[in-house]
Amino acid sequence: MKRLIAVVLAIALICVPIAMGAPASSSALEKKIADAPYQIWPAKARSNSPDYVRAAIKQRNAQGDNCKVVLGTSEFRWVYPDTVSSHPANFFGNNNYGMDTFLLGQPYCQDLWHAIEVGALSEDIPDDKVVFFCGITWFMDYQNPAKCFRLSFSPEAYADLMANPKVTDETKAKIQEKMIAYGVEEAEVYGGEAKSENLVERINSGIQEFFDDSKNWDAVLSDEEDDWNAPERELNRSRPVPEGRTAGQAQAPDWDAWLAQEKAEGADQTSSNEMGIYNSWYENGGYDSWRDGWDEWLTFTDEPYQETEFEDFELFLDVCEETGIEPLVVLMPLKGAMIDQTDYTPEVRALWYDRMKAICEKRGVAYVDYSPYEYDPYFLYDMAHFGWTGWVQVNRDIYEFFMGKEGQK
Amino acid sequence: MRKLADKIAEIFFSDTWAGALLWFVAAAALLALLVWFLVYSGFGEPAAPVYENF
Amino acid sequence: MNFYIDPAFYVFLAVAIVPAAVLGFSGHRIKYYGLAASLAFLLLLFGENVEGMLAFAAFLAIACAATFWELASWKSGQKALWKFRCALVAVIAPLVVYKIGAVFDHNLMGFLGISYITFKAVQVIIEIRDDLIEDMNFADYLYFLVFFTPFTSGPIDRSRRFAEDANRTYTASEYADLLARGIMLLLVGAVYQKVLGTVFHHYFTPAPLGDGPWWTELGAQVKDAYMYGFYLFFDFAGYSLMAMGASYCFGIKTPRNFRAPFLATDVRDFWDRWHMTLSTWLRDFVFMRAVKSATRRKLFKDRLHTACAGYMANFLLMGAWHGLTVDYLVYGAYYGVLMGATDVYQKKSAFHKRHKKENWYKVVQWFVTINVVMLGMAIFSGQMHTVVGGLIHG
Repeated sequence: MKRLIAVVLAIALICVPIAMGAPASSSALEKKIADAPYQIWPAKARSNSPDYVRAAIKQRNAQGDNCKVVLGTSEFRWVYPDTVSSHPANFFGNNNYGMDTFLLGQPYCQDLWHAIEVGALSEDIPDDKVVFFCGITWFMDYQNPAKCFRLSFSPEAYADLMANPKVTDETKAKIQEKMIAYGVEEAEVYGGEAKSENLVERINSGIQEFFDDSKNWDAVLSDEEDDWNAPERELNRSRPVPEGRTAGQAQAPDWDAWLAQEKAEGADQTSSNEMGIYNSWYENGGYDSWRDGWDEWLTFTDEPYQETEFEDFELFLDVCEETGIEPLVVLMPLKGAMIDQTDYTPEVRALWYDRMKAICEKRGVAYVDYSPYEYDPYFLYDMAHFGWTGWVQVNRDIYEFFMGKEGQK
Repeated sequence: MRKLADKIAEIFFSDTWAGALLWFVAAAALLALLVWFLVYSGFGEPAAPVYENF
Repeated sequence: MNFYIDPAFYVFLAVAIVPAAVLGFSGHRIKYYGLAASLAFLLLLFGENVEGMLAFAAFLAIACAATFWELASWKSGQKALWKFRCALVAVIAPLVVYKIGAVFDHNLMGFLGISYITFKAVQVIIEIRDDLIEDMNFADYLYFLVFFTPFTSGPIDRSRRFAEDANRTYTASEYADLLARGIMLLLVGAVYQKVLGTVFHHYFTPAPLGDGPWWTELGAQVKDAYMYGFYLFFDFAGYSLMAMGASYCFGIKTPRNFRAPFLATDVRDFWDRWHMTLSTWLRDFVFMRAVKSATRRKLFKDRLHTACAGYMANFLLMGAWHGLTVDYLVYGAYYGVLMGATDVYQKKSAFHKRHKKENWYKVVQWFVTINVVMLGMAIFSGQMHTVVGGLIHG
């Protein structure tokens, strides 16, 4: 009996601290990023890792950032070498307006990527609300949604979506069908399911994860992203939550002052042309080559927009509905001065706006329609990306969606 | 040297609290070594058993 | 689920030990619970492998039918030898078919643990014939065959010893001691198999002879042979200790399989210390029988010749059991020759007789033995095959 007591005590001595310590180590990633949880625009390895996004949201908010999820794509990019002062990272980061944005989504991320992302993260999205930037170009005839999906697909987010009990089997099945239609291997789409059914394998992987201190976070912890250039690496650089974000008392933004400031800044940064195209791109011949080449791609034969992207948009709304996430759909405009020259005339563009608004209205989803700003020169800095006054307007819609119209929540 | 080893073995296999203490130390050391090796050492997967194949 | 490999196995084992401990401490027999737990573990072992499960079920049906058919004949006094022979052939056939199928890369009637369950079934059939087993309870027999802890690779227990343990009860302090020893054996075994086995395996890096000076090339080969030898020992001894430990928790004192084999002073001593339950099984049911039968028929001129032939048959069978490949057959023949040679040397050499009690002689014997054993390891691991193949083709 003495021996048994000795052996059992020894097991307790070793196992109890491990059992107590291990749950803490599941947040090992959170600890690792504690000093620098913030990026202006997290790069692909980060945005495609739901574990990372969760940890970053948790850490940032634990440090008083109060960030909210904004889903989008390349519009989060920064004008180079200038800085648009009203970009959310500047607007919310350098002023204490009581909240910040977590800009989630990379180039090629379209409706299906975002549907999966919401399904993966639904339990960790602050306030159960997301702002969703939806782009008309995703739907255009030239666009290749299958290729975009394959280039942006996150297997980890997909696994988390499949594990989310709130998303119905029907919706999951529809997402799987679309993934296969977009060229994801069936083994990848259906492979995870058989695995998760077996009790033995669940225990095995559970124990492995429990002890898995060695899970390799190198990719998400690295600020280097291979296909990013230097200025974009700067956006992805990890840093502490900006000091300006929490300085002093939280205030409500002065929207009129912001608009006036950004009109002036826009005029300054687009001084080379009348269309409101930012100087460095225009001066380096970006616009000229766009103008010479648009008829190669901004054109259509039968239908201007693709059905499959509308289906994916509906899937995104399905996932939001099932997981209890309230979206604000932002219908992103195009620069009229540029796009009017193409096959996508105002009438053709109106088809898209009308259809998207009809879908949102039918489903009772809030949306903001920026089509009236298509001819505001400082709303977009190029054909499709928000610029000076554009960001002010978007920030206002984001702010009011999360903080209420009075700035009180 | 041999005498010491014999003495330790004698205590180890005796039904005394000193023996139990040795059992405690041995079990804790073995378990700690196992946990360290499997979880922290980074030595990789244990080699597969040979004789299962026969 | 793989026994002793998957983390889940240890979780299930820990859970399964709890009721066994309750029964053990409260002075109840663990047998029926142990049988049920074993069947549950075997279900997990075969998992979704329906073929394996069916092959196992078929074997179990054959073994039970053959054994109790033979037993009935012996109990009735009829003692029909043809029934014994039929029963023996019936339980050995699946293993033979499986081993031959494996040569052609086909899995015929195979399942994880087929070898060890066959050894056990054969032991019972032979001991019934020898009147050593006069009666046997069906549950005891079934439990003996399916007891999960040594199911996949031994140690090979004996039915009468097993049934004694299975049917006894323990006092609380006896069971506490058994449980403590069981846990300790599990820990030691895990360190052997998972830590030391892995470390030695890491340094086992066989390659054909290179272009370097002969002594470095030879040194590298010797190093690999030793690394493999230690790896195999810690792997298999570790596994065996874990199987023993888990058995103890269920009140079954499964016998040990290894006793410091690398301290052996001759190859016979080595086989008394290495994979002991297999070597004693082979000794009892192959070697002794072969020698007895040969002596009766006067096949050889004296006992030494008979013994040498017996060793050869015994170890060729042992090699063949590992697999019908050149490496394993050579491995068997190697030990067959060595065992005979050792016998002849020790019986005929005046030098040996004169010095065998002296320390320096024992050290020399030990040194020769361990190198002979490690050369055997090089044959067993296929390292020799690689080297010889390299010399022939390269």
